Amino acid sequence: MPWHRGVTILLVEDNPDHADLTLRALREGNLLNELFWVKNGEEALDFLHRRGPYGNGASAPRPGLVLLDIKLPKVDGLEVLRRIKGDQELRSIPVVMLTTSEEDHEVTESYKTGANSFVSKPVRFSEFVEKIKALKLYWVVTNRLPDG
Amino acid sequence: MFRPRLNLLGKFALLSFFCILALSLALGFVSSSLLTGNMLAWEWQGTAELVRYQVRAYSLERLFTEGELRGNPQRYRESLSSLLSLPEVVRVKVWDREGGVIWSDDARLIGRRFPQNRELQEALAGGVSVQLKDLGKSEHVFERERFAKLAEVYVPILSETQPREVIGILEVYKRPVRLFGMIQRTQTVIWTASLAGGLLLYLSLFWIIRIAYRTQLRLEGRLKEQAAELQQRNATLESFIQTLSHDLKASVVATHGLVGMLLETSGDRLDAEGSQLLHRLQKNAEYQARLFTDLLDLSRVGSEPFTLETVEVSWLLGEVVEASRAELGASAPRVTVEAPLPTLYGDPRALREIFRHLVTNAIKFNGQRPDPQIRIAAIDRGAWVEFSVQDNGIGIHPDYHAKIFEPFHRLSEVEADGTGVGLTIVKRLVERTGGRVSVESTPHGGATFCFTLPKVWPVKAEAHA
Repeated sequence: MPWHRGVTILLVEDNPDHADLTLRALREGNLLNELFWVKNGEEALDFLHRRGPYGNGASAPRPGLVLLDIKLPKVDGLEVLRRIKGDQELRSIPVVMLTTSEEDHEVTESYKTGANSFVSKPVRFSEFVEKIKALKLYWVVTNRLPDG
Repeated sequence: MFRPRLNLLGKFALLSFFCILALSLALGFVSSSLLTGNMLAWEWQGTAELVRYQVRAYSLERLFTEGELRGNPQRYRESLSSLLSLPEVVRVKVWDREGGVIWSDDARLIGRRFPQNRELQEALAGGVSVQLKDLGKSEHVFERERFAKLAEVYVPILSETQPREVIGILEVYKRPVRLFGMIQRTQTVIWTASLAGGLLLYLSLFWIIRIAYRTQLRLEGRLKEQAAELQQRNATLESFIQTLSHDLKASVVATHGLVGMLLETSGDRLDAEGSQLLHRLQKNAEYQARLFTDLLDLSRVGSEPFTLETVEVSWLLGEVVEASRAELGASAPRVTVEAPLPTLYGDPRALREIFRHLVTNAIKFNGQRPDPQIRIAAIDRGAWVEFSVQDNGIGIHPDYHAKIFEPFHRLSEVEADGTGVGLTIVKRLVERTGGRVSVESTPHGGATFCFTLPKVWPVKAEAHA
């Protein structure tokens, strides 16, 4: 399938176990593209703006999808989302919010700010894989469409 | 909420001012008039006795009896000189029993009759009577005197042989300068004393009340501070619980996932016991995750404010029933919703939560009956609506009716999912609107949960601690 390649995913997740699980879920869902993992909101913004340790453009390609945990140290997930959606260059990058608990106001706030989708991490790993798979189909395909 | 108590102090100040003023005036008036009356009576009595003493001493009865004196003014003056020399006496008049003037300083009056004179009539009946006269300008002969008052004292003279018989009247004109001076001084003292006393009473009362009022203000302030502090602590605790539950849940979710991965990658290399243990570990992690989810839900119920809008209950309920069925996937019970259901002005999310927990409960505890049924109804109670959710499941023993609303209280005999916060959440939400929730049930007889909600929810719904 041609759209497997070329789509870079940025995972913003402070919990290494959750990062590992997400990585595996992506792999299980046949979606192992180029994946970058950053541990907090500040790093995520550095990555996206290619500054600080990511000053070299080659080490920080523009991602095709951001998986963003909602509770993050330093800069909160919602704040990162707000910055992405407020940036002329970055706003077109689809952002999927990840959350452990499904708080109504967080979901509402995320969608208001411009999140494209929302995945609550289920207890069962298999369920998570299913959700990630469902995401893949939607986001990667639609993301590729304009390129033909 | 907190009305300034200055009102109270002001009210007290005004009310007590008028009360004490009235009291002082009444006291002053009563005591001064009593004293004045007594002083006057005493004075007239003294005058009368003095006159009678003079009459006896100088045998003046003859003024009335002996005809030879009549028509001889000089003799009268001589006879009455002892009376005229009494202190403050300025004039003496002699009356006969028929109200005729026998003798007077004013010669024009002699021989004239004034039987209508009231004081004279009283004196003729045997009592001393007095007429106080304020001297008019024209007759104000004593310009330099302070007291332009004249007292006409009518003294009945009794017969020596028949003590009850009035033989005539001696009228003494007095200018009681000393008496009225004394009366005025006494009144001044009385009025000053009662007004000063009233003022003193008022001031001391006001002082005491002000101390009490200030103490009250201070205590209220302290109470408010404490309430705010308590609220702050509660909020801190709530947010602590939320953060803690969230992190613990994240950790346990990871554990579950990692064990799952272990099973997936190396499951075939484990023996039966090893993989069973891993499955048990996973099950435990799952239970913990649910526990923390419930804890999060529970703490959120108290801290999230209501967002009010118009809610069509029948529509909302249809959604809830569908979702519960899908979630539990149980043998679908027959749900009867009795029309009509009301339209409320409330928080749809909270209402959905209430119904979701009750319907889920009813489905869960159906006891694997072949014909599970749920009946939902609403009764209009004026400003309130009473809802009921009835099932025909396993029921609850009356001993547990109070306990089921406590958090994490699961009836041990029941093997069901969940950790047991559903009914606690229902109770908290209902009580935040001001409503009440109750249960009627017998073992194996099904259960009916009733709760009341206002048709218009309060805007400021305080969370119950």
